[in-house]
Amino acid sequence: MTSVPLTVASAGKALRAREISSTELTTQLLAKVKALNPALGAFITVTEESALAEAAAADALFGKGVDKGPLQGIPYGTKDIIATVNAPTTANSNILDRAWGHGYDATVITRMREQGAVGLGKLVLSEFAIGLPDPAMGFPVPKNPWNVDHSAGGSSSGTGVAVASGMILCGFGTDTGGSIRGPAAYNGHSGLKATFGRVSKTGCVPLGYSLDNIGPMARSVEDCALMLQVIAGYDPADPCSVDVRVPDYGAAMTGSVAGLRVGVPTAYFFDAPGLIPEVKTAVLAAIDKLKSVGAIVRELAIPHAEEAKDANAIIMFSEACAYHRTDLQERYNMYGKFTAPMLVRGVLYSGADCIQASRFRTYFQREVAKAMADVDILVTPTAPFTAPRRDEMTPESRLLDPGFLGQWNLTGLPALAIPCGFSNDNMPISMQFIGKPFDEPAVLRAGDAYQRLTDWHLRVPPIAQG
Amino acid sequence: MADADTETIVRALFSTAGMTLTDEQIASFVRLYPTLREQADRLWAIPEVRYEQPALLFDARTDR
Repeated sequence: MTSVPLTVASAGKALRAREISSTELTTQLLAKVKALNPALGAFITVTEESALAEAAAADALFGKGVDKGPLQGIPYGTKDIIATVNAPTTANSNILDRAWGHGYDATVITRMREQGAVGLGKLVLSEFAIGLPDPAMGFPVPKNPWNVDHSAGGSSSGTGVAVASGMILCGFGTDTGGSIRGPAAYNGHSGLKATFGRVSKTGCVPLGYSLDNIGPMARSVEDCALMLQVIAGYDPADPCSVDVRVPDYGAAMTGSVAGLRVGVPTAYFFDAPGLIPEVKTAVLAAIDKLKSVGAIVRELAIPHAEEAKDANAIIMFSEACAYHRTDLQERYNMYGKFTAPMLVRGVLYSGADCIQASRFRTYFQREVAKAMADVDILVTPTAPFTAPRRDEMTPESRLLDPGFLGQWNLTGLPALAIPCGFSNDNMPISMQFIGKPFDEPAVLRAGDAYQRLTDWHLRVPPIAQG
Repeated sequence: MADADTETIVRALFSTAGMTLTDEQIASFVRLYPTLREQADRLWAIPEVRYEQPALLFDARTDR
């Protein structure tokens, strides 16, 4: 199994060198899915037939000398909250009307098809992108491939598990309060939430209308950039889409961070109670490594970072509750036992609370812009701890924990999670780069440069080796 | 806020929203509510936000 390429970039090279065909690559990955999915619970639907047809079509294009780009012939997976024409969309729920999304592709899927990518199937998530897995609901329970007793994170858990275990080379997650970056951190790979409006969310079941993002998850930053290049860009069908020119992300990844100005927001992000020393030490060591190769590092302050996490939650729960209110009234017990109690939190806030959170959002956005005036990116831990045990997690258990993710949904800024170490019990540790609006090139440059110096992102969990 | 007051508020909020929860579910929200309320109230206590505009956009056109 280890002969299968680990990254999109290496698979692309092998495809173009005719060392492997897309059909062979797809077949190998489908075999991995069959071998690993029962233990790890990453896939809801495997679209084997259409995947092999798409792979054959990609091979035919290669045979004719047609090359649509780096994703041609590359197998990928899709969080099962994003519509695909060839498979039902469940949102990991018995609530969602099975006719939802029927017969059409989300914009990001259309763009992947246009590039000749190969869809392997639909991936497990936290129900409606919130909450925790409930085995009684009949969907697979995602397990962390580094230790199956530990959480795979949420809500893009299936994508995180599938990338980390090599069932797919890359995939889609969604991120409203950290749901791409959290699973990327817990499972030990890369994940990017781009600037709000950079990637169309047309064809995705909403969680928080003003906070949702679709984004790439893959082992390497380079692979995330390859996906972003395909899916970024204006979509008139998405009212939140922004018409800003899409740069060449590959050109930004020079391998150097010389002169890159890196801000370290020490207060809260590095001293919050609950941040475990192993994570702090690993992230500070990674910052030192960036400094050693030319990054200009300085400390700075982001005011009210904790309140920003809470403001993001208030907006998210309020927006989510509006979407789900009728179903919560009529079919509360058809939701998973951990989902409904989270969705109804929106009932406990007032309309004025939600608007106040929105006013805070304006304030915080401006304060972060001021704090970043003299730096190019920020660096923080992605998560304050490594993946917790699954049996220790409840909807309430994380309420008072520090969080370093929702702040960047609130501000809409691009945020990239990448591995930067392992704990003593061999669980991945992650750091996060945050950029200015639409400056994905800066975070990709930093992440790629770090990954050229390290191999954390290429490590394969023992369960997926051999 | 006394527990009895909290329970009254929580029950009223869910009732107003048309949601029927079990006593066990209500009890979990009675435990949770003070924390949620404190988090929301902290946003009202930041002086800089007093005259801030909300981050909302509305376009009167329907043809975009």
